[in-house]
Amino acid sequence: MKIDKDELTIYEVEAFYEELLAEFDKGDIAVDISSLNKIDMSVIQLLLSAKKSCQESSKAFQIIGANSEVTKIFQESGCQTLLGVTDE
Amino acid sequence: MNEELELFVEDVDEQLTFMENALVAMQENGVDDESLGALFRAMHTIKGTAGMFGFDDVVGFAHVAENLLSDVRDGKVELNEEMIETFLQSKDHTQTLVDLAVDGEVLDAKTQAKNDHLLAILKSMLPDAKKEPLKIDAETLEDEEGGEKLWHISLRLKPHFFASGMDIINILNFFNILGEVKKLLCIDTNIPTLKDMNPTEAYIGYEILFLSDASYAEIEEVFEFVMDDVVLEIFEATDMDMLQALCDNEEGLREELVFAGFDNASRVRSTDAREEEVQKTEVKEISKEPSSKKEIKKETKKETKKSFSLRVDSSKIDSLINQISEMVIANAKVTQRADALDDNELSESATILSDMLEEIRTGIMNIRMVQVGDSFNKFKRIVNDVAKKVDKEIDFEIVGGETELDKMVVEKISDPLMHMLRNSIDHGVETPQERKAVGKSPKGHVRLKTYPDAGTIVIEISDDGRGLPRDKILAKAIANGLVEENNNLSDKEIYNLIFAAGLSTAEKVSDISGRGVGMDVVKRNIEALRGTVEIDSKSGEGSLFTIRLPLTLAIIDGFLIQSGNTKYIIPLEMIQECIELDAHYKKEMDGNEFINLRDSMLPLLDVRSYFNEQETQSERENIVVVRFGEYKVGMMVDELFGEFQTVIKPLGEVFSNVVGVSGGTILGSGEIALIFDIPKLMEHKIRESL
Repeated sequence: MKIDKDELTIYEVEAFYEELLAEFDKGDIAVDISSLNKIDMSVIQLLLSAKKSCQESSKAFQIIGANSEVTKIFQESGCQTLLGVTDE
Repeated sequence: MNEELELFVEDVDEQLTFMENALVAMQENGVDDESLGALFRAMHTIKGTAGMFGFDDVVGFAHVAENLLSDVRDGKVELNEEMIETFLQSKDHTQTLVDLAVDGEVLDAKTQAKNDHLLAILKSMLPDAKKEPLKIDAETLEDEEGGEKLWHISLRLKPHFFASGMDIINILNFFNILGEVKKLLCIDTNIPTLKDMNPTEAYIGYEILFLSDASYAEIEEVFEFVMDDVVLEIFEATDMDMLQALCDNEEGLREELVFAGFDNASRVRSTDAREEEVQKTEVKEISKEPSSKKEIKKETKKETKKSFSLRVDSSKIDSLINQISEMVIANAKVTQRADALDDNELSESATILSDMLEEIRTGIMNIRMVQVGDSFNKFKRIVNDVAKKVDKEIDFEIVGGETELDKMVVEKISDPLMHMLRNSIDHGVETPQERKAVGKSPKGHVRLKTYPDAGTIVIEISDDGRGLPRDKILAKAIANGLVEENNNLSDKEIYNLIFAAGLSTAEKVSDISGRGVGMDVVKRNIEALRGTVEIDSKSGEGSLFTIRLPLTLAIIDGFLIQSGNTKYIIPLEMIQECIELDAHYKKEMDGNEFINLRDSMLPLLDVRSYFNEQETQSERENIVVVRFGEYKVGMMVDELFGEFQTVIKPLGEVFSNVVGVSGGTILGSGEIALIFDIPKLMEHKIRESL
């Protein structure tokens, strides 16, 4: 799934949740976040949950296309390694 | 404005006032390390909190100012007059920036220009341009002698955290400014799988190892705006008891901590092991006890810190005072009923209740009391500014800043005081040349002195200037038709004419004073607070303005008396003594309105004739000796009832012209008693005797 927003925060998190849930029911999750410049903790938390869900049901989880801005946020949140985000 | 933002604005306000005071103090007494530290911390805090709200303009500006302050503090640059002036301007500018940011507005051209200008000046004062100020900042913090500790911060967001509107990442980032984050462990254990998740609820938590010389309070302050939205534990990383408690509370935490490299966690007993141990022996139980006690102690310590200062809407206190007032009246009714029924037990209970009400009342009143010094210190700057404008040298002194006064009174008296200070500097104190010519030191002396006196607070403004121009005031007053040409007014009365509307003796109107509006407004403002103002002056030696203010506004301790058929209240604190007007005194009076009280003359005021009360056939007459300032008067009354807690209720407009009565109150019986306005009565008495 590709996100085509500039930022994703608590204001959009519910819609994002629905999308993720639908994606999860279909199979593996790969989130392309290359368009994103800003995220907040609610989104990071949701991604962590998605990753957890995937692990439990042996599905693959991947975050791709994080730019340096967003990578920095992941890093600051202390969740960069947990989510396997790398600056691309 | 949401609550966090309001808190932020208040906080900034406080920090800026703090800065101003520190700067002005240094302007006066030279540079001292303590003020420098305070200055730096104030700017630092503003920067930090503004950062949490993402107010970039404020952060950008505060950052540069903070850098310079940091260098000043470390002795890399010397703080000179010019720099203090720049910092004062920076302080004002920061306020503007914050106001704009809070209103969500962008900088207008003028502010932007000012911003650039100040930034340029500040930067030019830096010893060398710094590329990585943030890091240097952290280093200097670390470099400070001793104090550096490794803290363990355990943080769990409560489910409703996101509703607070604060970004936890920003808060985490702030630790990088305050010190060095050694370990940042994200606790995701509580995050459910997608299906069970509510995406708007917070599940995440953090364990942080943080190296800094910041104190417990400073670290806690980082969470100031989210205190209710997180579960927070802050303790020194070496505190094994706290760590143990933490791990006991959360399953699997110990393992995670060990895995993440929180070294001390490996020394914590795992939950299973501990359960066994506890079961094994009683000795262990005992050994565990001190640690839990320690925890309790810690908790209370934290609590006291929290309760250190509390912001409360003043209307809440006002409404409390109102309710207490009503209770006082209700209780007076009970007391009276108990007396009527001759019920001792009820009477005793009512007395206890009344004592407790008195305590609560004092307590509530005390909440409103503040030291005047905090508020008066801002005058220093105003005095400096005004003195500069009119090219005079002023030595300004504040005496008795620790005197406590009702916060509302302090606020309301502020403007009149400012006005009077300006007057003193502009009109009172001469220019240095003039002063030298008459043999005074070129520096003028202005003093603001506050002290309590007989249930009132006295504020004096004195200067050693040229004094008030008596003849000029009189001539002007006659020209304005305020007084007759052939009057025999005392000097004091003439001086007090300057409080009349439209009377300014300044030859030319300056932008500081002299428009003839002002002193009458000053007087009105002071009278609105039930206070009085007086002037004394000596030509060539200076003037003295004396303001007297009541301690509180709503309830007073009164003394209930009766004259004719009406009951009156005299404010208790003004009463000196009560004496019986016996035959001996009556003979001595011999138709005059004074008696000889222990060899000094005491003028008397016959309440009965003054208020046209009916003659009564009371057995004895009494004199209540009251004092206000330097005056004493004996009030001739019929009956004395004693102390009475009086709730002041305003009288209607019909009574506004009755001189000598300031309000009314309701007695327990439902009767109404009038409260004497002693200062006004005295004024009347003095005028009459002239």
